[in-house]
Amino acid sequence: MDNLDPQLLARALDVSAVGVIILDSDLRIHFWNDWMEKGSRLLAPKVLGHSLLEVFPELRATRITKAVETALHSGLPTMLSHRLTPTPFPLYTASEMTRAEARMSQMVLIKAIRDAHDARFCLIQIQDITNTVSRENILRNQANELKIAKESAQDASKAKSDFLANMSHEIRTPMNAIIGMSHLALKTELTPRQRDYITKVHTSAQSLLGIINDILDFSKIEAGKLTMESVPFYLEDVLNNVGNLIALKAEEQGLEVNFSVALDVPLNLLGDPLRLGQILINLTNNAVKFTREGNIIVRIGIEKLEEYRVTLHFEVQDSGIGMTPEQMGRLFTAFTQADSSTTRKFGGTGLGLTICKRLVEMMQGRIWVESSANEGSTFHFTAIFAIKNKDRRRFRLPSRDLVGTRVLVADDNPVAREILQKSFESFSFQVTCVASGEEALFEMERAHARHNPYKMVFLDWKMRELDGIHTAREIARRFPGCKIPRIVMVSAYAREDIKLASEGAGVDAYLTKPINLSVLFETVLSILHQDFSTSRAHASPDESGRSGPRMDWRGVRVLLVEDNEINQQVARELLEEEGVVVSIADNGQEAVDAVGAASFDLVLMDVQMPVMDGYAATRAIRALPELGDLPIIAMTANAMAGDREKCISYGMNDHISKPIDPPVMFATMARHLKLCELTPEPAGTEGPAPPADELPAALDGIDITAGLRNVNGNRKLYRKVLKDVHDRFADVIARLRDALRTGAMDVALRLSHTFKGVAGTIGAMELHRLAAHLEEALKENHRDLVPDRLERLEPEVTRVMTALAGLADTPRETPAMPPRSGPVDQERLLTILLELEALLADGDSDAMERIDQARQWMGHDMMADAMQALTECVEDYEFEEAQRILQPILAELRANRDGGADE
Amino acid sequence: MFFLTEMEEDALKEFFNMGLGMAAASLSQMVNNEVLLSLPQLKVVPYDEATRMLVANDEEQLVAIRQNFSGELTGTSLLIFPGAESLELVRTLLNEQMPLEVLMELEQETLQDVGNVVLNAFLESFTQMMSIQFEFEAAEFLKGSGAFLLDITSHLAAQRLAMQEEANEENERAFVLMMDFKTHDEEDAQHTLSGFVVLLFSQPSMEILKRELKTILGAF
Repeated sequence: MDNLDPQLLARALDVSAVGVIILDSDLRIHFWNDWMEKGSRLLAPKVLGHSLLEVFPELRATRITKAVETALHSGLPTMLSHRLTPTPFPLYTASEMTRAEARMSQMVLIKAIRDAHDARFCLIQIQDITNTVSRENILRNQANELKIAKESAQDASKAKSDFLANMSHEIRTPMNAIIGMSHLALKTELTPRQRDYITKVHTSAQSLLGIINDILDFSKIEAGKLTMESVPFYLEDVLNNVGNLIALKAEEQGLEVNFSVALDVPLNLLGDPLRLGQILINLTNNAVKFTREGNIIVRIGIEKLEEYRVTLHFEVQDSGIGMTPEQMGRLFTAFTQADSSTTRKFGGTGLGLTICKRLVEMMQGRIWVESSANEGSTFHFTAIFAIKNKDRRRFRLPSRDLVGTRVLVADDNPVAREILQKSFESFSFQVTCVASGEEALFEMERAHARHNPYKMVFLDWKMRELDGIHTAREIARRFPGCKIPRIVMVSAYAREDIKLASEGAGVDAYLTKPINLSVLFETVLSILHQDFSTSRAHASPDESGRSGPRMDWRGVRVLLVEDNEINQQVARELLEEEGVVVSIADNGQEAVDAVGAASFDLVLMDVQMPVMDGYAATRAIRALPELGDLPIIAMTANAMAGDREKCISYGMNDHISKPIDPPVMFATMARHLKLCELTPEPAGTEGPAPPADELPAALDGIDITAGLRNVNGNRKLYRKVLKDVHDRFADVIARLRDALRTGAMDVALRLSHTFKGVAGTIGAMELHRLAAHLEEALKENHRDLVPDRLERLEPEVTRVMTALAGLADTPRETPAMPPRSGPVDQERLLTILLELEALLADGDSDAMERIDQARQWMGHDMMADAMQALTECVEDYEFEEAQRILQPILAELRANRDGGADE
Repeated sequence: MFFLTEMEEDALKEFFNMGLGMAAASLSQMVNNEVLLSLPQLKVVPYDEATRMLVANDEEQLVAIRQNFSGELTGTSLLIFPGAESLELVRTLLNEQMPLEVLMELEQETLQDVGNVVLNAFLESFTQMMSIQFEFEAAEFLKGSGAFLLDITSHLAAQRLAMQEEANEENERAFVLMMDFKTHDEEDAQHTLSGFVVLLFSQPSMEILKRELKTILGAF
């Protein structure tokens, strides 16, 4: 190395791929390689011996010069980067471009070196990084464009979500009115034609809502906002819901739907029942849509059973138009349908299967289809559920004697036969299945001849040749007398229709397909005259809000905050129907004022309102110290993911979405209130007294079913109402006549109005109609029509009152409701009575309702006389007298309350 | 065990801070934005403890600028950043509008430039306060785990001239300094980033350093 020729070293530096300059301590250039000659376009002889600053005056006082000085002075090296060196060497790349464009991007390294005599020199090395710089510029520009594109895509997607949320709100608000009003309208008296129209309006609105929900679900899936619940549920409840929803449609098309649940399938599960139902409804709806005749079978079996979880395999099989392999390939993609022509033929959004696929995936399952054109399709999916309770539900027969009961099943549908056979076998009955009415008759003859007759016969209504009804008639003809077995008619059609068609055929009971195992069991037992109520081994899952016990809503005070008048009406009437005392606030500000002025058990809060919205109102209410735990439930029409979270973050307790689904609303409210169950008390707990809910099987002029429906099926209450009607209105005709004679038209009008309402409530439909006619005549001031209408009303009054007279025999007993007491009740009572006071001042006969409510809230000994006097006054429309009676009661209550507060 | 007295340590810190003040001034000029550098912590620890301090997370990719020196004083200086912080530092310093996901080539180069300025400030402190001769190598850019960055043998390989005789890890001493960069972006939001400065000295170098410090302190 020592012998290396200096010429050689200089040559090596000359041809090196970087620029090399060597300066002495006076910055004089001692070396200038070839690379520098090219880059600077200055030849070595011109620069050697000159100062660097002489050659490049622009470098004076720049980083480069400073670095050179540092190196020469303290030996420290400097590396100068392109970005942090604003003034580099004036060097140019070899190109055709102008000087400015051809400027070379550089990285410069400046170091100190020493010669043999220990004298310091400065070595400058320059690297051409022009290519790197331009490459990175391109990359940066591309990244920038990508970023802009991504942002605008996100903006567009956000705009889409916002649009969906807004549209959802806009659509749901009127939908709430349509669904709610038609729901309410269906509870009024309607001509069959009107009922048909309104029913169709209601159904169409529901299906429109379904489409809107699909679109929303899809947008949630796109946004990754779809969530799954994990709650205990009962598989059969899900199937019942699906059955109820699908049966009507299937029936319209003459299709039969059958559920076949393998007997080892655990039924008590943990998961999202609503989403599971949604998948099944979607698949069965499709099946119905694409099937013209035949049947639809929903099968559920176990794919894999582990200790704590089960993988269920669901199949929905139809006998419809089927699909080609190409069509199947496109099936689970959004916005596509098997065949574009079916879009027109069958309608639909094409989102259903996409949603199903996503839901199934969220249940850790998969979905697929087997199909061939014109031979029907079978949709399969699997889903994993945790097992809540491993015990299979067993149907325990109330008596050993029933084991081996002989049952005959006649159905031309092999699947339906098989399902019934398995079901009966699970009850430990002895089953024989046949495929037609003729075979059934033949089999019965045979059994009869062997003195081993069947106890029960299950006949499918629609069988080829000999249908169920004819078979039943034939059975009645051939086996007269006591040997006739019990006959159950099974059909995919609504009960009422078959009932009508099979009148006189000797049918004991009716069952609707798809058959629910529990219903089947109960039907069997009831027709065998067995008490079945205690033999059911299963209990409903603990938290199934929908099928939970009926709650007692009477006297619960709810503040309804809602700006839309129609929605106010829908919600108010739904609530009042259950006995809830409803107050209304038109906006958030009114709500805040209202909760300050009176006490409420719960607030239903619309979110979007003028003056003050629901969020602000909630915050204001929560700021009031004593109202920190007043339950506030938001009602939003958005139903977008995040609504609930947002409501809760603003201090609300829960959230329901519009359109209001009454069971959901009540279940949600019930979660936040302490309510009594409204179950008829089990027989026996009432002591020796005869059961108070004893109702006659029929009452002349009264549709008991309709009447019971109006009181939510509470038989005790119904009986009390019937008696009250008799007590209060037996002399209604006389009172009307009196009023008319004395010219007190307003009294007559009020009385006829009240009476009309009462008649409707108890299910006295004809009476209701006639009373309405009278009221109309009075209201329109058609005095000429009044006597005639009164005349026509009278015999109906007599008829109904005679029927009710039988009930009124028992002495006027204590109120049907157990008396309640305690400070809370006093508070409620006071609220009710204050409302009563206002009604009395207005001379409003609705006052009667408040009196009845008040009675529910006071002990029966408490001011009983005063209340009775009040009732009589109101009945006689002596409102001023009633007000006088009320005053001392109010005074006493106020005194009690204030006294209580002092303690 | 500790071999610098409190006074010596303070003196050293004082020198470093002076150097850093100058480095901050030139950085501020370079990036046209005020840059403040400070040294909240200085520790002299054995080599293995320094390793422990830095190698808390084996997985993390660190970025470092290294400058070796040799002569009467032999050792290595390192400016170490967690990977993400180095990226942020460059971008704040350059007021970069369009950050990319990784440290690009030119950004590495910029970081190397900045690191060079900072390390020079430390090394210059030594050259200014001591009458000793040493040579510096150019700054290098390194990327890897903490263990890799502090690997003695890699430094030794780089310093083949001076250190073969005393390659005993036990005797290696390290200064570990926490260093904060403060700057603000165009919206005037403050950015503070922390890095480590590690100065590794061979045992004989450490002795020389101590001797020199004594001399300086004696002069006051």
